[in-house]
Amino acid sequence: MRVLIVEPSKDLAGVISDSFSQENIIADVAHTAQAGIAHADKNKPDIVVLELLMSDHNGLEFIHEFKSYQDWFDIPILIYSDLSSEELGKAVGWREDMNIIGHLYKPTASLKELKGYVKSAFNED
Amino acid sequence: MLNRANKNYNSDVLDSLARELKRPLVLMSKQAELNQSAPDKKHMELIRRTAEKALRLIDSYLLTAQSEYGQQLLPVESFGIGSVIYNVAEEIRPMAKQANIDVVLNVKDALVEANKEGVRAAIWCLSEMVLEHASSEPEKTAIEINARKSTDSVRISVLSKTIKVKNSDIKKAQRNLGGTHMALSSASSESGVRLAVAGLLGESLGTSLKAVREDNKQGLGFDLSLSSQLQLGIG
Repeated sequence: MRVLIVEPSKDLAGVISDSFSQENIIADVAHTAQAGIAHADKNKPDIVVLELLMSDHNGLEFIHEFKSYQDWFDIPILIYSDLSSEELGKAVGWREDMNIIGHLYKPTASLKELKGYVKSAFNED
Repeated sequence: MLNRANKNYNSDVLDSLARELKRPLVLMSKQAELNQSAPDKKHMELIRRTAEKALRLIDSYLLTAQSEYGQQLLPVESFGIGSVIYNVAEEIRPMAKQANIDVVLNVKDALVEANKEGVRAAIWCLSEMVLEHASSEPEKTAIEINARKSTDSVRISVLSKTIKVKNSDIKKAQRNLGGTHMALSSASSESGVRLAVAGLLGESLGTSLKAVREDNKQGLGFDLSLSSQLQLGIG
């Protein structure tokens, strides 16, 4: 399985990536939305783990651009963000439309939960 | 009694502190979790460094609040710009090395009167931005920290052969300067939150912040006056 981690913090992206590597999951890392698109173009991911708070484009713009490519439309996106559910709002509709499989609040969701969520998306528990 | 402006200010400060402090704390918690499953000295070192960043961030907010309420004046002192640049270079070298970038100094020393930590934070902030730009280059490159003295000022700049400075970079640098809070906390540099005292740093240095082009190098720089004091504080 190949995960694309779009996370602006280089240190945190490294930690998440190392954590996936422990499970023999290939993890590509991008620190900006544009780098995320470029990475996906080079190595098509099975799932994207996305922080919405980014300095160049915000995560929602990334989602819209990512999903505008037909080949990638079915690739699930898991939001792993410093934004809480309350801050993110209750826009469930767009999540389903965009194949957003879930939202984990980064401060309280452990790496174990993150990996569990990713693996369960592919029934690899 | 607090008036509306003060209430808004307090609310902004708390909101910014909460948001910015969240990042290093989240990072530490994930680093600790990773270390639990795969103990490694490297992880512990990262946790230590991140904790230090979080502490600097708290200190900087404390200083901001104390200065805002007139409880503390930010000290202005005479110092040689050369030693400050040298220290900043030493601090960013390990980071630059990881990105295959050399840090070169081209400094004509000068005595300035300013808030030393504020100036240090500003140089650090610009160096970090130029490093970030330069690190997108696949080949080995270098950044150069310059100090050039003229009659009444010294121009401090951070340049590289491999970057192109756009208007948006200047705006981002001004925002980042406003967000350094006199501290060397890279944890705070991304958000660009503008608080009252940090705003003074942004106004004092940010207004003279410019794109600098020399020979075949480009970068960001600002002018520091030699004669007049750069008062970064209330009072």
